[in-house]
Amino acid sequence: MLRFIGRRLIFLLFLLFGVALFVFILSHLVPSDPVAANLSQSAMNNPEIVAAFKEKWGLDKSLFSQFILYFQHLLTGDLGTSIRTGRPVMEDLMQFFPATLELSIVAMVIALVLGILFGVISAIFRNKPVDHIIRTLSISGVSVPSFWFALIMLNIFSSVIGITPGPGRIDARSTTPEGGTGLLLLDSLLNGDFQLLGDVAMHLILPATVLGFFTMGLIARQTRSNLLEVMSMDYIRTARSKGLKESGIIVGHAISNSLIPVITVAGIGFCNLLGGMVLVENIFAWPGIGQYAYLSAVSLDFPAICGVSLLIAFIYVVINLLIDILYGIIDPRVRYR
Amino acid sequence: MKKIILLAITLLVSLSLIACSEKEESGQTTSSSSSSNGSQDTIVIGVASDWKTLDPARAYEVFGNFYFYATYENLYMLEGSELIPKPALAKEYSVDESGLVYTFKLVEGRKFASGNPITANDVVFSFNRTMNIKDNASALAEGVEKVEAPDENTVVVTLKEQDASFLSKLTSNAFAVVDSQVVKEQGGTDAEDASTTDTATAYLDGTSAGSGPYVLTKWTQNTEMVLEKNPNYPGTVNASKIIIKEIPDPNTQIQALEKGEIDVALSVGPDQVKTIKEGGNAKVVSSPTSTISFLLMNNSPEIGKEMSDPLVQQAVRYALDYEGFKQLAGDGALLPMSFVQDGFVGAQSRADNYQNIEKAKELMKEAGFENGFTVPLIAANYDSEGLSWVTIAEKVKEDLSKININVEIQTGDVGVVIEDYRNGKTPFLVMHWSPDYYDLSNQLAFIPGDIVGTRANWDPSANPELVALAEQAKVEIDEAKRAELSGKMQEIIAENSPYAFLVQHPKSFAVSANLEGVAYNDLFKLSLKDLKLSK
Repeated sequence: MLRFIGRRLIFLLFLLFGVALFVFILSHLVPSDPVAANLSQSAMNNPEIVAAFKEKWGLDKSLFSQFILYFQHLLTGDLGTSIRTGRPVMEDLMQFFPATLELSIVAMVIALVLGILFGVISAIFRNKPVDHIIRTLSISGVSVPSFWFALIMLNIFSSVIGITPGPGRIDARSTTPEGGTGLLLLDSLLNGDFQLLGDVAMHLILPATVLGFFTMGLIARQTRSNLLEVMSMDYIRTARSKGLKESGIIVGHAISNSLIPVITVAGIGFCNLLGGMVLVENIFAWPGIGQYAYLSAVSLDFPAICGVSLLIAFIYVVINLLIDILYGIIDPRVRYR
Repeated sequence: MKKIILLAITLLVSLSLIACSEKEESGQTTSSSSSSNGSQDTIVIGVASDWKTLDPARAYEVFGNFYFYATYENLYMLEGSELIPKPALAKEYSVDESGLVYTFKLVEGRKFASGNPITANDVVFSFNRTMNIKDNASALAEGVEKVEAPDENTVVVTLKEQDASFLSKLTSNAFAVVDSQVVKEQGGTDAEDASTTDTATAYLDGTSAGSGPYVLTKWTQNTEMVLEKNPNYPGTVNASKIIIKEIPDPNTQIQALEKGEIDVALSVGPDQVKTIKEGGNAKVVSSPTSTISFLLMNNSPEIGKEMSDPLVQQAVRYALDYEGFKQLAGDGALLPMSFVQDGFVGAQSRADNYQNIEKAKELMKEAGFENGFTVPLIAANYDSEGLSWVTIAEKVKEDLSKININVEIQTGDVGVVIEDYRNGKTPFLVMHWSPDYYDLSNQLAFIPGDIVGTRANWDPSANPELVALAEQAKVEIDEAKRAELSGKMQEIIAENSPYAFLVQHPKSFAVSANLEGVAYNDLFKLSLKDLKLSK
């Protein structure tokens, strides 16, 4: 097992190098110029200002030397300085990541709980009205565009009905507390600030539901089909013939076995969730990595684009690694060599 | 197996806990937000800003002066909705006979927020720092030869050449006066090598060092900004605290405003304000801006092809339905005759019914294109004050179809389109112009051989008369003479140029029904000190 994890971690290093190289080349292939994206019209006409800008950001060097320099810094954990914010990319990521992490964890919890619950109910009541309703809900979860869903949900629940607050992580009239982990739920809990905890939780519900909706649909569909498959297996028939109660069979034998493949889907779902982040964060004014990625991309901020890509790639690999490990623990038939 | 059951139980328990806590907490949230809503002293503004830095020597962003006017002061500044410079830290100025040497007398006894006195040395330091730091803002100061302080209350600025727009340039953040003592302590320098040695930007991004009505107490980029009243500011400041929240989506801003969570939804467009219900707790404000949208028709026959023909260019100008563009842009839109916007010296306007299809058809016939042609029109995924360039392009397509020009709209990323535009490679495109400072000189970019002229491949030899008029306008200090020059140039460009000016856009935004003191200015957006929530 340890050798397996070790191998995967070495693979992670190669992957991150590949991602860095790929993103670097890709972002430099865009037929657009960071000088034009970051300097004003009059500044562009002043050669001294253009030269100072290029020198400051190393744009006067060849592409190859730029990459070598970037990679040397990467090895020391330095992701460079963002052209747009003027701050170290690492500092930016540390500032914006907690908001994204908090949102995606809550979204994932919602997706898992509702997804599994809906999947089980749907399988038990197969072809009954409740099954149809849940299946419609899950298929819409997978197919509805997240930005549209976000706007509609915000309008219905925040403006029309008014049971959830508006955009942002906390009430607009208060300011975000500084220090701590940046995970506001955790920070407010640790500080015993229950008013803030309530505010933060209320602000999380809507974006997390929107973000988790896709993954919820994926999990519900997977759970349903797995459970139906398991229910037709011999050992379930044996259990039935032994006279066990149907509810006992489902809870005691079927569900647990049908959930194993769900772990893989949940992993894929979590990664998909990161993709939906850009639009959802923009609509809910959520100051996270999604917004940071969008703003960096439109201002051709190469160091920031590379930084975000490396972070996302890292999360992908780590999640997949965790799933593989979890699989081995849950299902003893899976062995790692 | 047991582990899975354990995991499922844990998940269910945590869900129920979250649900319970949310129910309990919802009551608290409502009460807390309603109590803070009751505060008349804090104003919350929703924006989608473009702030990259809060260092006045570097910033040039559209939202730059929205912040700098709240926290810094200049020698001369704009007030209310007007674009005419008024004395601020300076009480008066004089120019010598050569027109190159400006002498400013400072208002006596003024202090920075830190308590340090404002002296002529602070002005010298600020101007030199902007010039030597060689960043975006430096472009506005490139006409300055030297700045001196003969005594504590006198500043003498010598220009490289006469510049009638110097006072207008002085109103922007490039010339904001910083507390030199504080900035030096934080690594700031005004030396010639400031572009590599100045390290004060990080400090200025977190704390202001000026004398404006507010001081910056917090800025988290892309999240929020907090401004608090400057105790040393002598004028009236209504709200003691301003919170600026970043809300990128305009629809979300409107929803937050209608819900009473914010008092101003600033970064919204004409489409969003239409959704605001009359008589509710929000109202719409529309005000003219200096942003004009125009069509560029490349003068180079290789690039512009048919569009480079002056007869076709004139036919396009006659074929456009200007009244329609005005309606598209929303309430408060204006029709400038050509390249000088309303509010600038000598500005003239175009009649709503300027469109003349018959005349346009005749010109097309004269150019040999009676049966028309097909041309690509490039429109980036961008907007002018909330009006999409693609929408503008669709209207152009509809209008030009009447004179048999078949327009094929091509859209693209704004970064890529701007790159081609700046390199003069676009044959026909939708573009806008938003001035860096509010003076006729800024508009002279449209003259042959100047910034935009070059992008249209409009060579100075194409119209020497226009070039000569522009040179005069740059240095003419007499307002009446300057207005005359401005008028002449507008008439020439309206008839013979590679541009078709479409509309001067209004800015539409929304505020709480009980917010007073709202006057929009194109440079600094809102004067924050004047905003007041009535009871």
